[in-house]
Amino acid sequence: MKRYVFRRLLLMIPTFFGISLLTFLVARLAPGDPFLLDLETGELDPEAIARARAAQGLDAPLPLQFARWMFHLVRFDFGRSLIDQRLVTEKIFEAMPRTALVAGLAMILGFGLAIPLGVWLSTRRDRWGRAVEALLLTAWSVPSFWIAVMALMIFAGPRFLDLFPVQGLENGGFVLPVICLAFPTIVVATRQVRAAMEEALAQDYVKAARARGIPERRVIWKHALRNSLLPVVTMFGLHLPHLVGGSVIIERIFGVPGMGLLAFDSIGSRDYPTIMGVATVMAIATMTSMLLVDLAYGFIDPRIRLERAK
Amino acid sequence: MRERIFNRMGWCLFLALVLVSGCSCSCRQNPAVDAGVAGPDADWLAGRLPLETGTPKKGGTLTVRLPLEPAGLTRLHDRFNEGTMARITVGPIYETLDALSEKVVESDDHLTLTITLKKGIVFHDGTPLTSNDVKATLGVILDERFPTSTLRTSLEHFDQLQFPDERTVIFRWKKPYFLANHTLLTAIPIMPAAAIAGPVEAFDTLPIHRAPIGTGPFKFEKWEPGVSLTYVRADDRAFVDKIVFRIVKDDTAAMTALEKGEFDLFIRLTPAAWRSIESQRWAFTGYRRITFAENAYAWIGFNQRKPLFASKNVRRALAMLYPSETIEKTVDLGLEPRTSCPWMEGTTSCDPSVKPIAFDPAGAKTLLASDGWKDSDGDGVLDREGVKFSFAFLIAAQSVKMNKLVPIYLDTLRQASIDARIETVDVSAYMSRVRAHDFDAMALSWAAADSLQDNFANFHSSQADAGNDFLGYANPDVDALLERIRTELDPTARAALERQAHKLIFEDQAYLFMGRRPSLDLAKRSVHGLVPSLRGYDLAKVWLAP
Amino acid sequence: MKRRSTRIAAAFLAVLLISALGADLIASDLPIAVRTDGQTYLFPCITKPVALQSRDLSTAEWIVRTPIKYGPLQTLAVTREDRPEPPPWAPDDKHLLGTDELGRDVAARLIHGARVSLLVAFFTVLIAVGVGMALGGIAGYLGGVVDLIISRVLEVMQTFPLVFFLLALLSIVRVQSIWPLILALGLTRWTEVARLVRAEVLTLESREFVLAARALGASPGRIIFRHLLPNAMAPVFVVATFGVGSAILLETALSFLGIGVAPPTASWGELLTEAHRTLQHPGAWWLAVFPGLAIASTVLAVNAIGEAVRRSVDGRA
Repeated sequence: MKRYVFRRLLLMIPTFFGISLLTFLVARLAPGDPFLLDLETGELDPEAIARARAAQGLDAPLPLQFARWMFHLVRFDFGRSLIDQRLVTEKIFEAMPRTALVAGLAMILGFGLAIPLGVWLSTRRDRWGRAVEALLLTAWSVPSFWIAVMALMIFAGPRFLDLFPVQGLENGGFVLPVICLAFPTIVVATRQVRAAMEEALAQDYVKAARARGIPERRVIWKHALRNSLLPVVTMFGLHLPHLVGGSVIIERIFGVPGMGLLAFDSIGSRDYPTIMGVATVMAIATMTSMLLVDLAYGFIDPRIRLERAK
Repeated sequence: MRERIFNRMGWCLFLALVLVSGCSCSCRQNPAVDAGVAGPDADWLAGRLPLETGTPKKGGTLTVRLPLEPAGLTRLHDRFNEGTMARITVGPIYETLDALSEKVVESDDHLTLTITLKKGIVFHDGTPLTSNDVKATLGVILDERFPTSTLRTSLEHFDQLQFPDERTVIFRWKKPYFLANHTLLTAIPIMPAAAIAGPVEAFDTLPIHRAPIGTGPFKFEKWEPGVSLTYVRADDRAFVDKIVFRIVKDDTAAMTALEKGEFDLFIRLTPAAWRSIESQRWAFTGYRRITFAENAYAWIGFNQRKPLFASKNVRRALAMLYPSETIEKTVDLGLEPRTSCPWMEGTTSCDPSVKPIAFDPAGAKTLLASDGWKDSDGDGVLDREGVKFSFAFLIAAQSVKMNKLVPIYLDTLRQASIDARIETVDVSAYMSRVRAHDFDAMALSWAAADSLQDNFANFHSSQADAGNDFLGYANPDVDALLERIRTELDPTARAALERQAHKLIFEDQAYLFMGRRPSLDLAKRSVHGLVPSLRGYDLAKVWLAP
Repeated sequence: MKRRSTRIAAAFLAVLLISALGADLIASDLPIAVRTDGQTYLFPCITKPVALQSRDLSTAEWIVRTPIKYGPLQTLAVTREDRPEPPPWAPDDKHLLGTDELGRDVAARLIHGARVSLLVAFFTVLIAVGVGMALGGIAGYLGGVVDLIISRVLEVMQTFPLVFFLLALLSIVRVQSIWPLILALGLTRWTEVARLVRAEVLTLESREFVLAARALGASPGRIIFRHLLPNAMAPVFVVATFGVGSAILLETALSFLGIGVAPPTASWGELLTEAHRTLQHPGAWWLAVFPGLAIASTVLAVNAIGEAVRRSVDGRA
């Protein structure tokens, strides 16, 4: 067990390095300059720009800049934002809880709904089951940003149900972003659970359990579900990047100043330290969640030996 | 069985989708006539403020929409110099020397300015204002090691400062410059010396950038990044107890919040929103529409470094192909009158005899032909000496106006056998390319918070490499005029020079001048004391009726 | 093809595909055929002869127009429509689905947008499947260091929120062509296919036909591409079909973030984004409803086909 965790942690290093390199290159090779001219007031002295670039170390050759970045990174020093001169870590700590709240609740809502719904669908092959399935499929076909825009107009707009604030997370404002973000998760996870359950229910041990007279409810929720959870747990880990990606759109529509919006804004203004800080933190978060999922495998299904899982 | 349900359900959902999308658009239409309420009155439609009656009352919270996240709140740092930020800090929180001084004496040669500061002025942190604070503020601006070049440029002829006593400051200039005293008195926020002291390296991260301390009628309370900015009343100079600037970046979301009554004051509606609220009852029953001229204009620029646009005739022809009426109607929605002048329209700086070029495709064709541009090979594109009249128009993806305007303009160019295409880049890349002169055609707008302005940086040939003359415009006569304007201190004589420069710049078609952008604002009817000005509303004068 | 829903979906997609490919024959400012000034032009709407472009065609001897008489990019500066109120104009007999803010015909933009959106979706999936199969196959068959490296790359791509990556990448290469977009999308979406193929190859590796091929001295390349990959095709096909649907949706999301197909080119995502921008126009429902319906029904149809493919692959219809 310890050896496995150690090995996984070791393998995270090249992955992490790869992500950093990718972000660094993408961010740095972009045309555009963080030291923009101010459109409204006019001039900016080119010498001042050169000085500002030098002060940020942006005039050094790229490999040197990357080496510096990695050196600072191991000490969790992301530097300062080029835009407002604040510490990137400070900006991230401000944004992170908001995204964690929305994405976390979306995850809980998504899987919390998907598991019972998927199990229910696998047992109900009548018209209601199919109706729900068709509903999910149709809803999945609508662009998620459009669902969010419509939800905003209907549930927060002044014309229909004025239930939630238009922007921000306060006063129940988190409800709509969470639901909209959870939406694709619900659909995808439900279908996954249903498929896994259908497979499990056709297995011999389920038949055996039924033959032994174990109540159907117990067969479904204990025997079959336990074995169907494995692919769902895998998905749980792989799903985090999707949620984070979705949060860019959701946070923009609902005006949530979280990680997605921070990434969007910093890419727009070529704020390199912030872009790289956000990407790094996101990557660490996902890698950790994937590791935890791998470890969780062992608890859900003791048959799987972690050493062999690799 | 299964498929039938599937289809039925699917169709139900589609129907729901149609209804929902349709409704969220069309149900917003709420014509006054249907509701049996009179439509908007003439004042409302014209965006005029009625005369103030009633006595100002103290108290209340004013909520204002802020369309962007401030980078910093001091204006001193080059990076914190966005125009909107200057408006919300200089005035409410910081004061400039004109407000802080009791007496200002200008010497006859305009080169010496003696300022006597008012007695008893105290910063929000309790320290009294002295000439030492003025010294510290100017010290940071004038010291070239600090990133304060934006403010420094207008003080470039600065000679020396004297501080005979705590309340007196004497400035001396080396050379006359018409904007020097004006900038000094009205653009430089005075900050407490203790708060801006420190080495150059620490300047970027001074606490005052994020928690401003000034002498103004409002005191900074808190800044929740991405959410809001809060000021509280500092003393009896202001009426409202609190101002909350709510940060809502997205225009559509901001309009929804506005309709829900979440803003007392909404500055700069889009032309489309300004027009659309005309049919919406909530807007004319609960709000006042306010419009007034700003010193801002939009222009299209052709890169004159490229042989294609080097000729004045070509630029004139391109202006003749600008379908001003169509654009006025479709894009500007009748709100942005055409201009021809790089100074503020309606002031004596503009020559009223210079009229914008009218849409005239036939005239453009003749003019282009006189310059040798003809479709000689019959491929539908003009050419000259084997070179085709073909170029790319650079636009910023985020610019709503240009994304509407440029396709219309290019359609008319194509009909005149000019092959023009759009190149969209994001705003950051856009500005880099404009500064690197890597474009054929582009568009920008200039805005000034004052009617006094110096066009040297925009049109003087010395500014072509590093300044704001992105197009590489150069005309020795204009250069000479712009230099004379800078040193001419008599307003009447200066205006005469500016009119000459206006005429020359227009004749050269240095820019293709488009429209003037007015301020399009909306305020709740309970908000009083709004006085339009080029620097925005004086928030200290605003009061709320209960 | 057993179910009616699948048949309907297939028929819908076929019609859509044909009209998208023939967009120029359905909506164009130039006619299908015309005789004017003693010259006959066939299919000028496709060939776009310059000689016709600024010619007044009302004097033509005979003319066969496209069903929709407008191109996707023609603003009111070209159509010369002069109405008292500014656009967007509601659907009427001239513009069946109305016009957008610039007086461009929504129906024409929708049909030409279908071509762009379907092109993006199709080629994205094609690239993703190609890259994914090649890398997954190689990783699975060769194993060892190669597998380790490819698996790391795979992990990097899966760990990194791709929207960030696309945002950064596409703000850089924002050219008017759609190919950089397709390439970027394709190169970020191969991971699922690669994982699938790698797993599939690992199970196929020990099967008799592979062992036989190896015994006969076939090269690894031949074994991977001739024996392993064709047998791993079935699950890839399912993923690819669903991939087309999600690529269409992704294109709309990217447009919303301002990094999709660059305007003025019409794509479905761009049309819907425009509708979002113009929500302030009271009553302009046609801007949102028609693109929304087009996207939703297409993705639904693609997913229905995907379901059918999955069922037949799983062997339980």
